[in-house]
This record gives sequence, structure tokens and C-alpha cells, in this order.
Amino acid sequence: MAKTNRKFEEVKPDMTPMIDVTFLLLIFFIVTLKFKTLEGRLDAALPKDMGSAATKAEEIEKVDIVLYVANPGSMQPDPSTGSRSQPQGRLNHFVGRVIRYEVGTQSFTDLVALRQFLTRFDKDETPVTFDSRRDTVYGDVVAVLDVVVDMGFKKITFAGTFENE
Amino acid sequence: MSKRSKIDTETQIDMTPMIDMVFLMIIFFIIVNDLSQQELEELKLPVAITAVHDDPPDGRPILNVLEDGTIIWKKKTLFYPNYDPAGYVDPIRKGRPDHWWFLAQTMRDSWLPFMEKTVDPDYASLGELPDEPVLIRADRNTPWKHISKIMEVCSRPDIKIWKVQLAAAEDTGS
Repeated sequence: MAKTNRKFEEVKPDMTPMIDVTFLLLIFFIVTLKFKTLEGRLDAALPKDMGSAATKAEEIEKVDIVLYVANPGSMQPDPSTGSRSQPQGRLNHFVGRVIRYEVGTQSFTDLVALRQFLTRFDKDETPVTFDSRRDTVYGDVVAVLDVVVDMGFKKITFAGTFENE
Repeated sequence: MSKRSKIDTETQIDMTPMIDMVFLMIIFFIIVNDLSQQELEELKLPVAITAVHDDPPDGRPILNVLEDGTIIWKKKTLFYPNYDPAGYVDPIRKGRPDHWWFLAQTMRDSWLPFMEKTVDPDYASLGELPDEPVLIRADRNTPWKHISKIMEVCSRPDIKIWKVQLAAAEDTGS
């Protein structure tokens, strides 16, 4: 009797622990999910002949852009990075910051004028060198670099007046 | 009799479709979870209209530079302000303590052996130079001197990396 009884018994696996684990996994993946951020890059090069005798003697026309901080501006919360709890912004940005760009004897404080000035150079051949001085930040350099790349200059390098402190 | 039997009936919810759905969602999230993003620290990049959309090539080193100058590569801190020079001396600025020795060592030992090297005919006397780029991702407020220092380390005689890429956010028109 007992034997036949067992035969007909339906085997019901207990699903509860599996569902628990599955939910935990699901929640883990949702929480750790980071959406692919859209990122771009700007290509540049460093001087190749640093620390050794330069092999080229011929003078070539070049553009040397020197960046100075004319007005450091003030650090304030950036409203574009605001959240519900901090509507004024989580991250800081500069307000009223002015950068002075010097190319040879010319001096500019806005990028439109600099762009205008640079149109006279041959975009494929003229090397452009960036030399950014004291207190400039990454964003300042990328802003000018963006203009120069947009104009079509091909040879972009960074000069080193490696100022520290 | 019929009433009684209704009361005794055990309500069995059919779990199968729910479990199917949950599995499907798990698989979706595993696939979407892009592991290559792990190398990117959370930074606010400056916006550039000309930024080329970046399809990260395999193995390109990415240096994240935080606002205070801390340099992170693959979640590993290679430099932070006043990093212990441990007796190393800067090979370019003789006599100064080298706070960047660990960065230089990482470049030399972990990057250089995997970089393709070519000889530039214009600079043949320099011999073989690594021909692959390094991506520098810095916060928009990171002082340039930190990036400039990374470039200096790149140009050290025993490293000579000369291709750099600067990360910027693509202009989304907002």
C-alpha cells in the first residue's frame, strides 16, 4: 500500500529559495547597472625629441598658444549637475572665468577672436603647440583644443613648462 | 459538499511565467552591464564639439585624473598629492624627489611591453618609439599642471610614449 502511494505522489520541488536568489541577483544587476556614457576624445601628441638633440634644423612656421588665467573666476555649484536634493548642483564650476590666449605678440580673451586669427595658417602643415601656465585647468585647455581641432589643425602638441607649485 | 470542497482547495499560483521573466531580466542586465566601463572613474568631463566618438581599442591604458590630481588606472591609484617618493629621484629634473615613480614604473612595466613600436623616419635617431596612445581622462576642474606632469612622465627617456588622447564629453546639444 505504502509503495503504490509513493509512486503516485507528485514530486514538487520547493521553488522558494531559487526565486529568492534570483530576485537578489536581479536587484544586484539593476543596482550595479551603469549606462554606457557617451565619451569622446581629442587626439594630440607630445614632442618626440624631448631630452635629445633635435634632428630638424629648418625653421618652420608654427603657432604657439600660451594660456594664462586672466581672471580665475569663482567656484560655484553647477546647476546643470543638480539633483532633487541639491538643485543648485552637486559639482562645482567656474563662474566669470577669463583665460587669456597669447599667440606670438597677439593676445585674445575670447575664442572667437582666436579662431579668426588662426584662419591665416595652413591647417595641415602648421604645428600648434599648447603651453598652459599657472592655474589653468583641464577644461580651459580642452576648450581651446576643441577650437583648434575644429578648425582642422593636424599637428597638435603640448609644450612643457612643467610648472609645479 | 461543493461549498466545502471549494474551501479546501489550495490556491496554487503558477510561478513559471514569473520565473521566466526574472531570468530574462537577469540575462538582459548581465549583457548590458558593460565591463569595459569599469576602468572609467566618475568624472565631470569638459564638453567639446569636435570630440571624436571614442570606441575604446583593446588594451589602451586609461588614466583617470581626479580634481585633486589623484591618478587612477584600472581602479589602482598610481599617484596622489605628496605621494611617497621612496627615495626615487626625478630623471628629468635632477635632484628633485620623484613623486611619480609609481606611475612611471607602471607605464614602463605594465604598458610598454604591450605597445606596438615603430621607427619614425624623421626621428630615426630616437630608435623605436611606442606607437599607441594613452587616454587621459581628467575632471574639467583638474589643474593642468597634473596633466602636464603625466605628459612629462610619458616623455621620460625610458618610456617615450608620445601619443596622448584627452577625453571630453560629446556635445549633446543641450
